Amino acid sequence: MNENRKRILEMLAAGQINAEEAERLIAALEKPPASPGESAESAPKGSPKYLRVVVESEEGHHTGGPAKVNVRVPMQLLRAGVKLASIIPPQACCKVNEALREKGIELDLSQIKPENLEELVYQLKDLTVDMEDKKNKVRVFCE
Amino acid sequence: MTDVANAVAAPARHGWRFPLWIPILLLWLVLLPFVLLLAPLVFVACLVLRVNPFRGIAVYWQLFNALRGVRIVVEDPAAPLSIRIF
Repeated sequence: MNENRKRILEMLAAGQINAEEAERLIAALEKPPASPGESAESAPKGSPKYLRVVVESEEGHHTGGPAKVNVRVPMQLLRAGVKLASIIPPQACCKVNEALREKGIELDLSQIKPENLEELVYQLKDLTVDMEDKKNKVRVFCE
Repeated sequence: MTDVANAVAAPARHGWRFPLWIPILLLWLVLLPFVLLLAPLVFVACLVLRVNPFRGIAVYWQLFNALRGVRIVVEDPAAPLSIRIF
């Protein structure tokens, strides 16, 4: 028997954990390890990979005919952008924070960390912004 | 790593398409002299601003690599354009 599994069963027998917890621990043991190529920064399962912006216009800029703009931005770019914020000099960071505060946005740039961003990106999967008027339609979503 | 950028400009008015595949390696070779010229300036600027230059380079490298997957497609009869980075 696997040493770890034996320890879990011993803990269960000793009453240190209940049956449900033991089952969870055993299931975690049986889970295959992450592949070597899989980086720590890769997106967790279920989180969106791309931010999409689709603009449809009945009147194009030049011809007046229908036009469509389709933009796809990888979420990885957002993650890299947050890392960029980490090298902003402290003086500049203070100025940016002050400017944001003046606009009524209480945000401290130095507090934005990649680990915080991951949760935000995950929540974005349900985000859809639809704007529509008589001639134009804008849709922002994640996929 | 980002391998290639593909840009397609296709003015329908003239009835021709102009697909352009740009290997990023070639772009690096073209930019290399400028990078070498600007490197000392960037290094000094980083020291003045108290930013670790190596960390800065690493972050910009990551940002560049994160461009992989970017797609911009404009479907306009007058000026259709498609830019894809693979």
